[in-house]
Amino acid sequence: MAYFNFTKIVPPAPNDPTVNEATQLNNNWDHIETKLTPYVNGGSLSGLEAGQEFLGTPGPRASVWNGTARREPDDIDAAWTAWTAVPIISPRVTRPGNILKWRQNPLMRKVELRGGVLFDASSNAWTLGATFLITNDVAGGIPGTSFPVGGAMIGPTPTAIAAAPAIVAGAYVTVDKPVANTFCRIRVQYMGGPGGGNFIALDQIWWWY
Amino acid sequence: MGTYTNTLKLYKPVDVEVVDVEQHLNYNWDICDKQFKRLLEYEYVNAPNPDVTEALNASRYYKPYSNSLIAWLPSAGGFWQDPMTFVSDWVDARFLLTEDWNSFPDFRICYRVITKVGGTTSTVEWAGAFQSVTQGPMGFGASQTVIPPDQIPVGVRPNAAHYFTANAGNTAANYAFARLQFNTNGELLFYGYGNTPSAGASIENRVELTDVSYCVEVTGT
Repeated sequence: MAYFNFTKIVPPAPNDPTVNEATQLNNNWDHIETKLTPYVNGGSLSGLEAGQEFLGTPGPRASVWNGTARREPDDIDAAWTAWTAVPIISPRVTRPGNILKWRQNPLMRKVELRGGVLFDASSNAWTLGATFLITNDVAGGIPGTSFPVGGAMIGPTPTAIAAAPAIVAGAYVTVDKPVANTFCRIRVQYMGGPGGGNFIALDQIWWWY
Repeated sequence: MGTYTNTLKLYKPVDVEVVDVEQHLNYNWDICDKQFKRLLEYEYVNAPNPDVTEALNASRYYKPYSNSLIAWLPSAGGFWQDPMTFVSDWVDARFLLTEDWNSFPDFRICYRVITKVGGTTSTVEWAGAFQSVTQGPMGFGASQTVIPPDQIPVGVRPNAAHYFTANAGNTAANYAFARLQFNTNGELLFYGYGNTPSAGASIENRVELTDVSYCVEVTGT
């Protein structure tokens, strides 16, 4: 709540033909000056009331005075967790050089993936139209506190195909809750053409939680 | 003669002075109106490089775009962007393309960097679209170089290859889409799937970079 309470106004009497400059005008101008100056110049703490925003120093950054101290916005950048490898369920394997990883940001309530998976350690072809389990209720996985909002997220994702010519090669990724409800489940459905592809990339998969 | 407040220059009449409505009251209200306006309203602009001259003269902070972040703040006679919420201007990337590709008219390819000073999670966002320089078929079924190696600046390249599925359009009935590959050497490769799009200047005959973004720092190992 912003405080612009004009407590120094002295109401004139009914039909008062005169204005008292000190009590009815100038005190209010001083009050407005005090309240607005932190926004205009920055760095001034004088006259701040709890809840008032101001431009603090160093910076200046937009801050809020909580009555005793300056409160700055949370650091969204620092809120990202480290990139962590996703545990893959055999016989699917992560792609060397493009390890499937995840990170999350509790301030943004967002999870991001990057990296890719192979059909198996020999990079055999994916089966057209079939759904494959990538990770499930596995310790070290993406925690259930980060399930996609609404319960599930389905998005398109690219594939790299081993042999040309390809007709169409792509995949769909589904992120949802497994039965055990503890860690996120990730499945992919391969939509490639004959010949299959050698990996599915999850670089563009992210969701809100 | 009265006095003026230090910052806003609001006139304060002395007690023996007859109050002039126009000079002693209305002028002060106008000053307050201008100052409060910036606090209560967004400064909405579409330009990627907004003109902040007016804001500078008024020495007020500045809220570009329609978000609620206070992104620009006055500092020492200039304007300064909060490093904790830093978003770069859109950088024109048309000149990175090989001679075989053009930026789509009125939808130039460009990128911006979201980071903070000293931060370790820079995100690069791309936008715009490209098409064959001849506006002809885009040569599906083979990997093609759209931006050659070393062209995407250091700091904007990913530390591990990133792949995206993008709309490649088609004026014919058959669907077509593309796989985009941003490599660590600063190149962008394109691999088309589906039927070759019809030639021409249709908005369907292009590859879009909309919604392509990646974290620069994450490694592949």
